[in-house]
Amino acid sequence: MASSGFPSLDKLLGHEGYPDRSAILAVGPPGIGKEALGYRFAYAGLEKGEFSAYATSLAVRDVLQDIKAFGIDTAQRVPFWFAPSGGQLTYDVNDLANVSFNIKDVLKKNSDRRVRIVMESFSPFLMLNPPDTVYKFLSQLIAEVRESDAILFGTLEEGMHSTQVLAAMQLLFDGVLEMRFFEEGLRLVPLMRIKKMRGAPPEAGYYRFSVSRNGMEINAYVK
Amino acid sequence: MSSELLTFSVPVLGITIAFDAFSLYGAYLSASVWRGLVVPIYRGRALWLAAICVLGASMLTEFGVTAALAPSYGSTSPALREFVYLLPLAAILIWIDRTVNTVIRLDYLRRDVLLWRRLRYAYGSIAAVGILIYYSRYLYPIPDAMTVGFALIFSQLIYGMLTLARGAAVTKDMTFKSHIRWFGLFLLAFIVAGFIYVLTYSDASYLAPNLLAFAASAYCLYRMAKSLVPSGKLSAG
Repeated sequence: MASSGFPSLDKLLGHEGYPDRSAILAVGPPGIGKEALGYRFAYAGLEKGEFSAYATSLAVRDVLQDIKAFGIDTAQRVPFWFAPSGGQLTYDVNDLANVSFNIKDVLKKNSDRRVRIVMESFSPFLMLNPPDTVYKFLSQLIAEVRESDAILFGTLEEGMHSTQVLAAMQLLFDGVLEMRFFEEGLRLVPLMRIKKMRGAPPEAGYYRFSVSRNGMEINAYVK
Repeated sequence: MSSELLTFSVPVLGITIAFDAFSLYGAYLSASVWRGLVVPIYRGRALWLAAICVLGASMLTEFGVTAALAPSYGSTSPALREFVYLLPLAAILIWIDRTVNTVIRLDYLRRDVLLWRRLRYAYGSIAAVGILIYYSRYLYPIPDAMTVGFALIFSQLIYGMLTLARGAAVTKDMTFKSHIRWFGLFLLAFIVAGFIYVLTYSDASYLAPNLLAFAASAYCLYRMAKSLVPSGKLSAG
């Protein structure tokens, strides 16, 4: 198991975090906190001496600024970057073959230790490439992750894609965290649930959550 | 008076209260989304919308109450009324700039929309000059200040509306597309309200059609708040 970086989320996931050799998808509207899960997951790996790689379509400088806003110390350790600028390897969301090649190469070069890969959002892939091409790319990538001692964490923006695309994407992954706003009378409540997680029974319950510099607070949601 | 109260003032007050409720509920929804989000760029969008909804409701209330209780023009100071009108107008002009910048930043290919990156300073300057000319007629006797000021301000509003329409056409984000469409409709209603105001400036009955246009813009604000983020009822699926 690999810690998510948030003790409260680890507890929800069964005390230890995400399953080994798995691919996890966080789905939710832009800005709700999926990115924070990715940051914490990558840095939790670095703290344990694991190899963490972070793939983003933004400049590294911008992402580091966001990471600092969540109270993560970026002075001591930084992940291996795939980014359009400022990273060790370039990241072009239009070039799936190159992205795939680079990630597989990183997995091969770090086969002696656990690797954590965070891919900031799969939405640009789906917007710039046909869905079938993206499914194929992800299927191959996830198969590679399962063969290595690696965990892939990715995010998907809800509301940007059709329900069919969202459903098909969720089928590819071993675990799906759903985060979204729900209407309760006249109120909007941010809730999350573990929609599926390999090795765990399906979870029907929703949880109220908030992400801040101090971590993640999760409470059972009673309607 | 009692007949006028029943046939004019009560319906006007009813429309005002109903659409104020839409606008204020939009502000509440936006504030809820702002509280729930963690990423600054998205939080900023929600906060702007909440602020504009509150401004929209205050503007609608001013027009509605004035129209209902004092239908004859001149009961409220024109300078005061136009200040009430210009304050949200300035906020809307800034809000358009922030939104178009967000549209460009959220586009994964970083495409410009209708040369906005190059023309945004000209947009801001022309609109600011327009506002100054429009309002300065209360201080100095500038000929045609109202028409010139209005033309400058609304040409920029129309440019902003066209840019947003183009942004909505370009973006592949379905939620954002719907949000921007409602923004465009809001601007259209706001521009129509402005035209009615200027064209019927000296007419005693201008407040009622103006009120309807503002009511439509308040409804658009509510729809914008609803389309800020995808939301739904709880389901086990």
